Amino acid sequence: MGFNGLTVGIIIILLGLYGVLTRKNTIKMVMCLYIMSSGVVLFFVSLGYVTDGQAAIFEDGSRLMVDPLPQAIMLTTIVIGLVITSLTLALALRIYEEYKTVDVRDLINKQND
Amino acid sequence: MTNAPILIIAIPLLAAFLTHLTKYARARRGAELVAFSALLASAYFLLTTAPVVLSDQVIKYNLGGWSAPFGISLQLDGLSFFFSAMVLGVGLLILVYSLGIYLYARRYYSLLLIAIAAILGIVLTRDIFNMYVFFEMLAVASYVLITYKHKPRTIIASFKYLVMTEATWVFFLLAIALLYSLTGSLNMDVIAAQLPQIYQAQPHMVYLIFSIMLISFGIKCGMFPLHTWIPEANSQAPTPVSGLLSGLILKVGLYAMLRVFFLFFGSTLLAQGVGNIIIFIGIISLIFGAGMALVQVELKRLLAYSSIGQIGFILVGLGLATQWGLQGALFHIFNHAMIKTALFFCAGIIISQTGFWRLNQMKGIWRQMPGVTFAFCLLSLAVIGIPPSNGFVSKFFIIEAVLLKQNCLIMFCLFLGILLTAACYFRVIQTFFSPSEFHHKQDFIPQPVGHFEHLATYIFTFLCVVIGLFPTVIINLIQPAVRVLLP
Amino acid sequence: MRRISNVVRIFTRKLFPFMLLYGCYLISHGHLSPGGGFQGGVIFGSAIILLGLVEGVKATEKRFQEMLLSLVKNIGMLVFVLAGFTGMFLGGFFLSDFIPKGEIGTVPSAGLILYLNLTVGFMVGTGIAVVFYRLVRFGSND
Repeated sequence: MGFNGLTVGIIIILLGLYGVLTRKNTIKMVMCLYIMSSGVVLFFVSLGYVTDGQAAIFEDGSRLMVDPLPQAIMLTTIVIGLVITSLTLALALRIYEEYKTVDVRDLINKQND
Repeated sequence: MTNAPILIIAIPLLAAFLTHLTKYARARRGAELVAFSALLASAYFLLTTAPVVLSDQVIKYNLGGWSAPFGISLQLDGLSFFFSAMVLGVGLLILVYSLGIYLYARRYYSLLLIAIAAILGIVLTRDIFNMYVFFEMLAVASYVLITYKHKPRTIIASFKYLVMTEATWVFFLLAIALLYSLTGSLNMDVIAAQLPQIYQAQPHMVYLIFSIMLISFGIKCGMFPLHTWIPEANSQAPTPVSGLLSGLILKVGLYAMLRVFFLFFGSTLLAQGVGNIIIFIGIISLIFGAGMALVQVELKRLLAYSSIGQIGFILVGLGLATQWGLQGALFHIFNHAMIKTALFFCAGIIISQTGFWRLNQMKGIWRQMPGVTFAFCLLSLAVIGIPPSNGFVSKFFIIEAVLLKQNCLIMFCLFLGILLTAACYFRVIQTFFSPSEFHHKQDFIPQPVGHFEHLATYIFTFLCVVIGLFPTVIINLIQPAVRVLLP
Repeated sequence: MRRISNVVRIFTRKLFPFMLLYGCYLISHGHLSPGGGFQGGVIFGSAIILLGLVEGVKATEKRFQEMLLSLVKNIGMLVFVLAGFTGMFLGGFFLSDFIPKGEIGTVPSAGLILYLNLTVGFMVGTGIAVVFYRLVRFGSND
């Protein structure tokens, strides 16, 4: 099975998911969401690895190159992760402003008012 | 080669960016004018493709000139045409509703146009990663639109929706990664051609990808265990955004399910009866949604739970995967988008005029607002499925499909769901028409509700009755879509 | 909050234009080396954020006004979509490449991609700076 990028990527996704599910602090939930996104990026980029391949930039002469498509896709994914993280942080900040708490358990009670 | 597919998506997107610049144009209603003309232009380009698409041909379009396996391609076929028409029609009426309330700024119209452009992008694209990007674009626009009015509860609703959806869609990206590693391409047609061989070699991978996609599209469309974001998000959002969420965003999750399941897994998994899982989930959603709607105290939460129930009904038709079932499912998607949006508009007018949110405070309101109450009654008949409304025709198709399958249990559960829906909406009508006097709220200044809100609601109600009396127009639109799904 | 020490302040102020230059280098050499629109834009935005952390957000906002950055962001979005439309009008598909290419290995060899990279880079950079300004304003008396 090997300790390569694929395995580590899946482990990071599952760690992030554990964090989103169990942490009560909204800021920690935001961080774990971004950790999940980073795990997927690592997984997908490792999928495109060709053994003994060089970076996918065309110079003179033909060489063995890694697959550039996962890298292009993961750029878009990182941008999406950035946008979602900044939006979630803004929402978490506004929740703090309104309710003076970052604990999710207090919010559940306040939601039923 | 026609440029119509990209123009349908790019014109609302361009208009979304242009509405920011109307600040410098000093026009009184500049942003609304730009938004309206953009949606009308998009609808015009859609109509120019109608003769080609409705005769079972497809229009393909490669972005940037890069041909199919290398670049992103768009494809306009019967199913995409049907959904684009529905989205543009309902979107135009949502825009008409928001014209009336004068406190929506440029930011609102820009986000609404981005949301509609994203939905059109999801419906037209043929590249699965492009669909993911458009889904995230739609999701970001909807998170911000829900919190447009900065009330405390809207922010909790949006936060909950955000964390749930994003944590699930990370796994959708994982499924795309698995598909790429198995087939080497991201184009839906190339993947669909290679999936039968992969199913022979590694069936467990195909099962894994199917289940991830079922859950990802399920959280977008409101399947039973994944529905918990819908009540708060729909009830706390401003009214046109509730219409957008319940009418269009839930349906686009169903579109993705239809497209992906019938294209990728049509010959392999669906033939083996995986559709039974979807029927089971649909029945549970129907009974749960209708049952929970029966005990709700707030009007908008009641409508949100009823949405979950109706989506369950559509899922039953989808899971049956026969011609009658898909016809009924697509017709009910169309009807429910119109009916639920109109119901949210009625609730919005009542709430902004009286200031009451709870149902038991609205007793006897028919004397104050006879028109809106009458429209609510007609729309309730449509949701329950009583003739002569369009809801009757679509539910009849789905029940016909179940009859052809000769399954008594599903039939019993469907009728139980219809009964619970009827009880829920009759309770609301009884409250509206109750003989007791209606007490106004103390010190409440009703917001001025102008002509546009009433116009949008009455147009929807009129269309519901007309389509119920003459359904063949819409059925001719649905037949090419069903032929795309079941060749 | 305690004042940032003098060493960090002076060093960051001296390094700031080189950070912006590095961001622009990454944006414009996206097709020749690792980099590109988004990466260079993030460096650009991070330089402004760093200056904001060191000097105080009010002083940074006087120099890099939010109105100007917002305008650059909005115009950048328009330029992107209009570049796509230009490709379409000049006889190809949307976002087709209509700019003549040079020789491989130099900067103008990428055609339309160079201009799209520049647009995206400035959009992302100014966008990140505007997000930073808005988020910092939350805690204060707004």
